[in-house]
Amino acid sequence: MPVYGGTSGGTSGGTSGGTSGGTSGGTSGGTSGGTSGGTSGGTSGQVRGKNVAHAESPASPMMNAALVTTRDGITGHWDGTPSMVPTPIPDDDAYLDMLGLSGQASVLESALCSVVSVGEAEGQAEGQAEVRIAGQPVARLAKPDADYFAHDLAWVRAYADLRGERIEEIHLQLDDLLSFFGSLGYLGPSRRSHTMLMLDMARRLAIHVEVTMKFICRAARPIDLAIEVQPMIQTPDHSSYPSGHAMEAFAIATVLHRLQTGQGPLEGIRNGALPFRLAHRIAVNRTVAGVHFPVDSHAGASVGCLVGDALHSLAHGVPLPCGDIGLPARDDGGATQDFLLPLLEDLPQDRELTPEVIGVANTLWSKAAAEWPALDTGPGDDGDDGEAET
Amino acid sequence: MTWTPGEENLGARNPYIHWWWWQENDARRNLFGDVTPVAASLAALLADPPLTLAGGEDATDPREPILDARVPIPERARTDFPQVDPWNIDDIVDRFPTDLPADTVITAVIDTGIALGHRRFRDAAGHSRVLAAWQQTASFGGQPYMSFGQELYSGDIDCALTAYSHDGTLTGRLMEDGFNRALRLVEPQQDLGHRDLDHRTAHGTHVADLAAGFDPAALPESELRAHPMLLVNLPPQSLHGSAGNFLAFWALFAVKRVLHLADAISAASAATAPEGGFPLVINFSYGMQAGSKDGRSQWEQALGAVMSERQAQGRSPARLVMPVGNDNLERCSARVYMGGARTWADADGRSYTLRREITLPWRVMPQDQTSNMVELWLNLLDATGTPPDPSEVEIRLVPPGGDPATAVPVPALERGGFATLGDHARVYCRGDGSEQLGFVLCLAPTERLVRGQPVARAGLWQIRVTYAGTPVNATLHIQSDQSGMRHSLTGRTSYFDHEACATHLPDGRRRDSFDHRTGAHTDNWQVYGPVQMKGTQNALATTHDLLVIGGHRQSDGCPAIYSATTDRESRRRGNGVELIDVTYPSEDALSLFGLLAAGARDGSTVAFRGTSMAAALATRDITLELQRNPGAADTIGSSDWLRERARAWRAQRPEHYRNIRRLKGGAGHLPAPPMARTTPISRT
Repeated sequence: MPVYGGTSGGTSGGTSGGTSGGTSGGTSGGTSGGTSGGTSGGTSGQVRGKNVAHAESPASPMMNAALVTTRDGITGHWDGTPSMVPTPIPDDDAYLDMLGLSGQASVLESALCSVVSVGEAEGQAEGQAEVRIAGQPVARLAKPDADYFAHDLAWVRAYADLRGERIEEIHLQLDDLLSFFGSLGYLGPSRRSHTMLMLDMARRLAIHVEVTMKFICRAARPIDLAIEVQPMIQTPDHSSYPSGHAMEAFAIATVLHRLQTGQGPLEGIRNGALPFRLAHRIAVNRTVAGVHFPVDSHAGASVGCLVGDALHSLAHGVPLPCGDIGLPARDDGGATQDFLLPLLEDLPQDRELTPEVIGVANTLWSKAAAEWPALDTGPGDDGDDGEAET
Repeated sequence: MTWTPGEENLGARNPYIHWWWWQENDARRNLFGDVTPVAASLAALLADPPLTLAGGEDATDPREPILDARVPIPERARTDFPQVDPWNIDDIVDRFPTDLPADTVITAVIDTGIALGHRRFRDAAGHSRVLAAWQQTASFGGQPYMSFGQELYSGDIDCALTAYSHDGTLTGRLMEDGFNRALRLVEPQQDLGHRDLDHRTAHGTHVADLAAGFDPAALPESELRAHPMLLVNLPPQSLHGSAGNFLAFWALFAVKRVLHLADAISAASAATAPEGGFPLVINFSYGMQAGSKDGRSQWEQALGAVMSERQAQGRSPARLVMPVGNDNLERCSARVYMGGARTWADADGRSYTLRREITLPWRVMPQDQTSNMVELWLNLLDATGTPPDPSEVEIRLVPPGGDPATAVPVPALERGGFATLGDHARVYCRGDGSEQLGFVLCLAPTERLVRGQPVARAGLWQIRVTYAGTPVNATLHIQSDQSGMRHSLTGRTSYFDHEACATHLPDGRRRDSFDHRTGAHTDNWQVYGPVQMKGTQNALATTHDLLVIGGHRQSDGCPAIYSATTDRESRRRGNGVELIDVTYPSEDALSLFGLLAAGARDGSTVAFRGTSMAAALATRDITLELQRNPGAADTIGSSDWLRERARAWRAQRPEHYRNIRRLKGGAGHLPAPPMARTTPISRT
């Protein structure tokens, strides 16, 4: 789901709020995001887990004034010449360790977003989005026609029956997905801080992709097709297709599964690995809620797997399997398919692209992988074909 | 507004179904989609060859005593063939194993939402223990001997288990969404498709797990093989009728089919099966509130006929286990002695005042999208007398704000007749089932979603009954009432809102019929008025052909407060023995409600409370005992055996358990049988 809690609020909330702060801060505004983010991931606020910008307190005018008067009282005369030898600043990516997690995340996000882009597919009909890495197309996504959505609405009706028992999940998943993935393996700043950073990066990258995709595809929501839908949550104002929740959830699942097992998304889906089953449930919950069609989730999940896999490829310079994303087939009567996990076993992988390594991504991925010590963290072992680079 | 006598006489036809086709048939009025009215007669149902359905709007209603007429069956679920083949064991015998052990006991579960993929219904190698499963209103499966739905066998189930496992083996993790849809256990794309297993909880799966689920790793293979299962998935709730109008049809057909399948299973393993076939225990955890409750309803008569026929054929006894019901606290039952004389004395010489008139306040809820019904029965206090004539009874159904003294009475009816008030109310005089005199008072829903459809006023109606004839026990029961949609709150149940009927005791505790601590009777007429907990027992379970199970709390033996209380006037077995046999656990402890068993998804656990759960434990207990004592099938599982078992268990029960009053608990407690779970839950 895109970070639309106010442009400035989302940005500043993410920057000063740390990894988890940025996630929730963007949705509801920088104020709350910065606050909660600072608690768990602020730049210097990790000491005692308090909401701090200084060594032990949050930023405030009172703090500023106190520091002014204190300096006045203790410093005495200074003519402006240096009095210390500065700490050496590394020339390589070891510098990242001086930034703190939120700073590291910002650097990585900036690097990734400068390489991964989305635009309108050239020479194609309107409503076709194209994902590119370093300007090279990796996948196209075309919006279904109105008749497809009209038939897909029947699934929205069918899933509405499940609303009563999914209220808590749906509400919490409005802006918190990581807490659910956190039940699949310990996620916390004490010992999986870089895993959390990479999962959040997967989500940010997915958001970066989905924003423009939605803008290009601009599809109507279920509420626009039938007054009987009556969603149980507020329908977002942006395009239904593709589903942002599905894209983010499957991007997270892809990265988490890779960190946990070394396997790619296709293998994980075929094995019914839990991260993907969780991502599927998160995606389906949006249909239960009445704000998405199953085809939105299929598209979002397909792109999400690509995004998560791209993150791995950009971190290691290994081939990225990719291809254009088609629509699930319809039966002779025009009925559409439900979004079930086995549908993703047809992830498009008819070509591949090998991107250049992004050094920061490689460094941070390695740190995350090292938090799962039982796995082979060597670069190039993508698990999909079972071959490891020597 | 006046009452208009009906132009036809229903004869022995079911008034609930007559009302349904008048008030609730229109697809615009409720959630029903494309259904075909199917004429179904009891005789056809019991016949051999079995039921051949004559469909279409012009279906003629047979004029013989029938269970129902024109049951709505989804079009896609009906047979494609012009005629249904007779039920022939030879057609299906090769579907069943030929080497079941001699101590095999078949457990059948008739319910809604029974999963087929759960590990606890499979053996250690992953094979299903379910030998046959009939999904009654699944899209038609193409079997020429089935009138509707689809019947699956263990081979079909195993194939699907393999096809939908992640590694293509019977032990691989199951993709339950695909499995359930492939076997039509759920049909979300259908208007009236089965959906229970898409939810987190499913009543049928929970019951089946309690009744017959086993951890395959905890039992030897030979022992597991002796516990095959037969399942019938009843239609989804929407097809039962909001007052259970059609439930008896589905249920009776299910029982008949189960008996036939059991015979086929025994025939397949003829080399090892005992004479008369393997014992069969059927769990049917369903109930209705209103009825004659004298064992003479059409369902009970039909059931009796089926069981008698089985016995006459020398087949092994089929034990049918049902719950006593959960309506104890619902203020849905009232009773008063009425008659022309001033008093009446019972066989023990106790004298009772007779009333000539009673007015009962009936609160009908607003925004209630289902009909509301009350049954009035005048049961003779002296069993040898002649039931009163309908003309002796005056009934006034008074709308909210009306005066019972001036309200227009229902015109005198004859049996099978009815009278209508406007477009929203009707009173039937029952000509079906029991010979006792009974009426059904019907009100339309108080809310309709389509403009122009008839509605009844919400609020406090009053039912005034005037009678001065032979002494009777006049009972009034509000019929069970549920929405067509599971979990929906749009089907609101009415209740008798009598000023004397306190919901709590003076000390603040919730009032039950008896105070379990002291044994005091806390449902007496003099204090709490005519609205009683006594008499709330399951109207489908008052015949001697089945076992009736109540619930108690496992931690302290206290009877479950919702577990129905029977009444001493019941005629069961003709000697006044209370209807309820025994109680099994239906609650764990004060702080842990219900019992834990399987949820809709394999591996999930949910808590369900209710006498349905107690009944399932009784089924399990009987099954295990039959398996341990193969030669005693004629005794084990009978009502007398069960009661004696409870009496014997008193010597072993926990010291802090107290006796339950007989109307509430029958012969008393029995413990939960072994669950064969690998991790026993200790309460010490």
